[in-house]
Amino acid sequence: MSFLDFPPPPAGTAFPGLRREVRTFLADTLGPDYGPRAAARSWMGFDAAFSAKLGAAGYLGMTFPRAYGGQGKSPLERYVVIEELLAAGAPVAAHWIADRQSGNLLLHYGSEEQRQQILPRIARGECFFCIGMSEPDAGSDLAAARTRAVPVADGYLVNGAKIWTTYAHEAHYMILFCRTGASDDRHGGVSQFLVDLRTPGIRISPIHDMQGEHHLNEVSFTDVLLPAAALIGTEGDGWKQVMGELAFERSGPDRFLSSFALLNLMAGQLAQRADQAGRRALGRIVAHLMVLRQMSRSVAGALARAENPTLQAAIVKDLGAVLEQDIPELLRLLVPLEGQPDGSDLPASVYAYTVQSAPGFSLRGGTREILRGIIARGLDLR
Amino acid sequence: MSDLVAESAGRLFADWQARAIAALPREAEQGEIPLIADLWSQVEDQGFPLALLSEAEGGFGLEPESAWLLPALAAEQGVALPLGETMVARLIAARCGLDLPDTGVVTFGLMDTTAAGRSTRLAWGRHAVAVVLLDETPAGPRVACVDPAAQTLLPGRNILCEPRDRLQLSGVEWRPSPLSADEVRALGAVLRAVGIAGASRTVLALCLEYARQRQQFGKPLGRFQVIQHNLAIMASQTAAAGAAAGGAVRACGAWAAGACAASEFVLHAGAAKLRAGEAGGLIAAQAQQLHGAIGITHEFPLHVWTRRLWSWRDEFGAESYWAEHIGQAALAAPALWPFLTDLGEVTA
Repeated sequence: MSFLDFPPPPAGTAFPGLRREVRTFLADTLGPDYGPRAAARSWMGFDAAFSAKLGAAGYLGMTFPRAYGGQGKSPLERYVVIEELLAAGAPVAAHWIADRQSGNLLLHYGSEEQRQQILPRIARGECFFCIGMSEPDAGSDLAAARTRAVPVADGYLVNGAKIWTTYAHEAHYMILFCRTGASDDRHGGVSQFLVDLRTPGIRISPIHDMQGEHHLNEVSFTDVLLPAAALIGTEGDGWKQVMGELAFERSGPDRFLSSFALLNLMAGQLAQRADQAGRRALGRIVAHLMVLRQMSRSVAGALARAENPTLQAAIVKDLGAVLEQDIPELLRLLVPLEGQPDGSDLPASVYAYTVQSAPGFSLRGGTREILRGIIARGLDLR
Repeated sequence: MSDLVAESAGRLFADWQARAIAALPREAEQGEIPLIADLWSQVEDQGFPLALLSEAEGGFGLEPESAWLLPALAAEQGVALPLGETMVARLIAARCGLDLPDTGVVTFGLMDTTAAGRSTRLAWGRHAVAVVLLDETPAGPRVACVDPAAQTLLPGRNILCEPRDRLQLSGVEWRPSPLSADEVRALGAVLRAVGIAGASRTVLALCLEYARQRQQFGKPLGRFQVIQHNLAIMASQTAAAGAAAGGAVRACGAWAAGACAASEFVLHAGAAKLRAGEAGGLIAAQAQQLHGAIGITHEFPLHVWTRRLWSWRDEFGAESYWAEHIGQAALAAPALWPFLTDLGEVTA
């Protein structure tokens, strides 16, 4: 079972110089007042101006070819950049989905026109995407999607609804996954489209999370006319394409650094009052992070070799989500904490934010149950 | 070269698996795991005990990844064999300029800081022709090569009844050691992490096989979703143990080549031991549960691997020991994230 092996990328791919450069950029750009409360939000933090600065510095669309405005860099260089962004808790929500998966999907399957039109804007940090997968009746069961695009004279007519669409209300485009044909195979007759969210007939309605924040949406489509050129890749090949997109979604260090702002804050507190329990709890988390970083770099190395590390990515995401959900629980064993959403007590508010965000860590990008099903399939059990 | 070594070692250990398991003592009160003399002499004929030595030190200059594959393969095949211990003991002796007999089992360990003149538990101590001991004193670390036959041996066993003996020393010639107790413990931690990763792979394979064959409620166990998910957890933990051990092996190679600080090597070895140990415990528990009653019997060989997992995770620093060591280092660093990334560059 070679998918249980996580070989290291070749020597000389740690890019310490790039890491220092990004660290300096972040210190300068975020400034000294960027504190743990903002850092805890990180990829929920929407800041178009920050994304534009990242783009100008050459940190977006890094792996795109130069012809499409990218840097032609390796996934291992991009790995260093996104790790530093997440560890600093930078506000990455605006460009995150475009840079992580939408751009790669267009690069692999998009038409030349789509690539020319979109990729340079992603790399400049000017073009934001949302994900059009889940539907009200199709969550983990993505193949149950019912939204349909019917071929008409001048393109496709779309009707249906997508849900849990992060930052649809701020995004320029959605990659829409929907039915286009009839097929006995649940995975057949589906396709992907590049949807300009300004198209008439699209309605975006907010869904507030338990903390009252608006990042999720429902996006409904009523007789939305898409041009034929909006089709991505091949009509009917949507399942294969969307699985490739999900592999990019699941592979990164965003799958174990979600609680890092809280951990970092607590490490500062423990340093002043370290007792044995504190040292041991922190040491255990550090050991887990050391190993997860090796595994995650290994996945980036597989992407650099143009392999498909779907199974390895599922393993890293599952292990990572367990750890990042554990972090607030472990910390409350060490420090007296009563969570409160605001106020002057910094640990209490960062904890309150993190503990309420944590349930999502094992939902987004494929639930824990879906990931374990994927791993079980890799073990030939299903 | 390296592939050939692994291939021939894998074949040799597989050939001996059935005999090694048949030799296990049935009654823990009496027995101990014997050293299989024929297997050991074949291991020596192939030069495996010298695997960690450079050519200048009398070895073959194997890549560290290839050398550490030997104890990993022995662990996978479940053969009782003091190969890893002898490999590490010979490495320590070479680094400290100690002379060892040309052949025979050699083991290594630390002195017990709580009992004067007494060693900690030494793997295969009673079978060793020499023991390399490291003693951390206020004046600095010191090292000695001891003939156990000339000392008082206090016999002991691990959970699988493999020899774990202490020595009560008298009249030992110590000399200053270039290696610290931390480094020697870290070498042991790498050995056990590598072994846990290997044993975990076999436990997972046994579980997958059993889940396919064993039928209940009219279908194989592996068709039940809850079983599938438990096996997925075991697979992820197996992968994590393997990745952890791999990182420790690379850090050990960097340390041996003078390319990383001793303190960094120790942190990597400890992190790997902690992570692999935690995985090993989870995997053993899940495997026993999956196998039901047959798994807790002596007849079914699962226990050979699960009992080694339970033994090995305690040795050369259990999870609690290394958590404290790593936590202390992390808290002493100016900031947590650069501490992690600097360490990561050692194994990158």
